Amino acid sequence: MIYPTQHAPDFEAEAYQNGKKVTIRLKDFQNQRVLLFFYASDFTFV
Amino acid sequence: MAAQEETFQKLGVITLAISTDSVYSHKVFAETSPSARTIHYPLLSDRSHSISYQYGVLRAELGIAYRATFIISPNHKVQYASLYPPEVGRNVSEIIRVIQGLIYEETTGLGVPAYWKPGMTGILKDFKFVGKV
Repeated sequence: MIYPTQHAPDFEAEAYQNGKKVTIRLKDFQNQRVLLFFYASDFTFV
Repeated sequence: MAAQEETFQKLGVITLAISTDSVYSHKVFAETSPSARTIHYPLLSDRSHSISYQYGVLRAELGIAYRATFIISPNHKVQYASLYPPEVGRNVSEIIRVIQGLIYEETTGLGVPAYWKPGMTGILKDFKFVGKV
């Protein structure tokens, strides 16, 4: 697990957003705080 | 998280949700689930499990991720990390409080004590105050 003060590993992923398929890269959000939350599965409670 | 999307926006936070589901599953989920229908933030697909693995939150035997939450600073250091038991949902108001506390510390230089909430004062961090607050 990545702990506080450690570098957040960069990643690239396909994503669904507002009806479209997009590509999301963590590095696209330089100088912005990011909330990254993992959940188990769609259709389950988050 | 969905219900608090606007709160995160106001705090200047980019929200990214991620699971090991495909984007096709994400699409149908976003179109059909009453709570997911309101979401504007992206649902990321970690179909190769590589991101969950890299962040150390993969349950490899099940092919899914733990209910993990990371707050990442503007210079991309992890500031907060948590894992919930699979049986229990998140307390989103605590995540909001942590972000508010981080912003408060950045702008005032004051320490953020236990149970701190916006509107409360912080703590001077100088060594001379140790044992006095």
